[in-house]
Amino acid sequence: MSSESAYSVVAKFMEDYQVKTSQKLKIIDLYLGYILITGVIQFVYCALVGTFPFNSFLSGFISCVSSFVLGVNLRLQVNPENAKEFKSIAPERAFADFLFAHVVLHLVVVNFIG
Amino acid sequence: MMNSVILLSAVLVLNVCSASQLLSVISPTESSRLAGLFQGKYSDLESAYYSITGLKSLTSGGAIGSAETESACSLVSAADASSITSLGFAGQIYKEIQTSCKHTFSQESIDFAVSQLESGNVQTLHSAIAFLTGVGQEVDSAAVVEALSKAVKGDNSVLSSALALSAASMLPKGANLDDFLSTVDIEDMAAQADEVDSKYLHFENSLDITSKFLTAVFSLSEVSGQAPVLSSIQHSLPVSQMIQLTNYVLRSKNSASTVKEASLILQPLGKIVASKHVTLAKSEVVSGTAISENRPNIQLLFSNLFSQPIENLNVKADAIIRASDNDLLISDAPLHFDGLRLYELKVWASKPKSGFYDVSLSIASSGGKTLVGLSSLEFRVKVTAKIVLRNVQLGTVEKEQTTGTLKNINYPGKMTAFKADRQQRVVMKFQIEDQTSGSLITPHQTFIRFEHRATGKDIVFVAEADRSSTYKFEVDLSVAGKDQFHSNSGLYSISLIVGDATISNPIFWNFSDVTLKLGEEASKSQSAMETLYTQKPEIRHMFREPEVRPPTVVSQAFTVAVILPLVLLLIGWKSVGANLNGMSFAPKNLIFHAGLGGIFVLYYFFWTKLNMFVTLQYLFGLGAVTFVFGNLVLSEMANSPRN
Repeated sequence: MSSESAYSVVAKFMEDYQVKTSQKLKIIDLYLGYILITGVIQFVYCALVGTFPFNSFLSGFISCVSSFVLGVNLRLQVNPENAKEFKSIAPERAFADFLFAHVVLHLVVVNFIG
Repeated sequence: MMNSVILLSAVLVLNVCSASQLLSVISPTESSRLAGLFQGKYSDLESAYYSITGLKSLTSGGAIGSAETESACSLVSAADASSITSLGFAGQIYKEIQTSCKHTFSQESIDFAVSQLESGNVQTLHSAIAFLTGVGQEVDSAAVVEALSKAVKGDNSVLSSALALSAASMLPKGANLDDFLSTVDIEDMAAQADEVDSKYLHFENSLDITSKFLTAVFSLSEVSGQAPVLSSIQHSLPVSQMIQLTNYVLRSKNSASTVKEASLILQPLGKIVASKHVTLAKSEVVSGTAISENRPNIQLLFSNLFSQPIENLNVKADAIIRASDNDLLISDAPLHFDGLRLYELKVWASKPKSGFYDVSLSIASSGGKTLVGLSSLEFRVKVTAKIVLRNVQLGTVEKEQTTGTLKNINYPGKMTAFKADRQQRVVMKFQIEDQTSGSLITPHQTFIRFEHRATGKDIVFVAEADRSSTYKFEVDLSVAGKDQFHSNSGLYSISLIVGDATISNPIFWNFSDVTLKLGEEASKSQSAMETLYTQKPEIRHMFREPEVRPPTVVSQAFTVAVILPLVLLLIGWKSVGANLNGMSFAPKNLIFHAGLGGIFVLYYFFWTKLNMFVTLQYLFGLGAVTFVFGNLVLSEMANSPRN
């Protein structure tokens, strides 16, 4: 409906979200939000004070980005609505993958952070 | 014999054009040094032999002193009669000193030597012949020659052939050597020598063999009466090879330190100098490169191997031609021997014009001997002249006008100082005359030099002559004042500089002073040349600056800012209802969580202390534990009924 403003769309979306999303997914979404904010703050800091030391900035920022990606993957695999696509992967298995990927990610991040 | 003389005469002027030249001769100093080696008491027969023969080879300073004679005599008397080599030395020494040394050799030694004449060894034969001829004993020449031929056939090395030739030349004159000489072919032997740089020829780089060979060739020539060097005559040495062999022998003249070496050098040289067939000469232009009033003649010196002057040469100046214009000064003029050493040609008397001249001479022997090592000479001399300045005029001319007032100056006088400013030109005219010929010349260097008295700076201009060889020099001060004088006004002294390679009295004449008014001082812009040597600014090494870091406050604030979202996350989770109700404290759960925590603690230590290798080792262990227990925990969770 053309008379609907952007605000009403957002409000509806928020309402739907609150109602329809399971608790598990909300937890993950909060986590993703947290990662996002952390990444933004890091980026702002770099923009403010310059890129030295660049490896540290990259390491931190990419850590955030990768964690976000892994979180999104987890959310996808755990979402019961997508169960059809991920028949062979149980949520626990997805979580185990999530943990393993994080272990590897953080090894690399700590190595690169300098 | 007549034939060979005619042949020789025919070859007189027609010279064997050889690329080889005699490189050096024995100077008087070197000669006395070598003679010095032969002095004193002799320690053994061999050194006595070499010393005596060495002294005999010198043409001057080679007298055998009484101490030496005595020493040699006693050694000869004590010669070992059972060694043919010793007898050989003794016999040759005795031949030289028999007037002062009375000694009779025992019959045993003579018989022994005669018996050795049947030996097949060339060395033995040589010693035996040397001994017998030295003591004056008669030998059967024909048999001896045959024995020599046989021995040489047995050992045809160059050394043995040379020894055989020497031995044959010791035999009394009249011995028939033709067959022998066909066995021992000199040309063949010479072909075995090695040439170096087309200057030296040697046998196996051995002074011994080379010297003995050369000596043998000349000894043979003495006996046979035939020339040792002419390629057209049989049994002789090509001229170039003879010169190259001599060059090789002379090479060690300064390094020879033993009597044997010294003797080996001097023996062939002595034979060459004494030869009736050959003159080996070295030329030197004694008069130097310049002909002038003080040195009016070209003088040449021709010396033999012992630096003694050679007379009886026909030296002729074929042509003396001026290099710049091919003007022929002298042609076909003979040089006169002054009776002592030098061959002279009067040049200055022909009133030559100054310049460089190319002289070509041809030299020939006039005494029936072949001249070797020298046939023509070409060199350059310069004739210098005295110059005189004529018609020197100096003055200033106004800018627009063509002629001005010029005053005459007489060299070497000085004109009164004058003034000039930017509206004028300084003009000078002069002529340079060659005093001998009276003609005007244009030397290579004619400069006018202005020297600023106050600063010492000088400005040099080149003066150029016109067609009539009159120099006209002009400085236009309106232009030159800025360009060359850099607007430096003040008192300048002007000098004339005239020079040339062929001028014997170059001129540097301060003929006047001038005060130049050249306008305001131009800004002292220094040319690149002037600043080249001034002190440059000092360079200091700058270490790498550390990178700019943000202030501590900012970075700490952001550290807090980054931690903050975690707090927000926890609050958010709480509000959503996340809880730890399902947490069980079973061992495997604990170990799983501890393992995970441990991994991240390990990462902290990796960041602060450890390196990748150690970390990986720990990680492997921890990871394995965490994996196993994680597997257990999660599969338990997966299999439990879903809530």
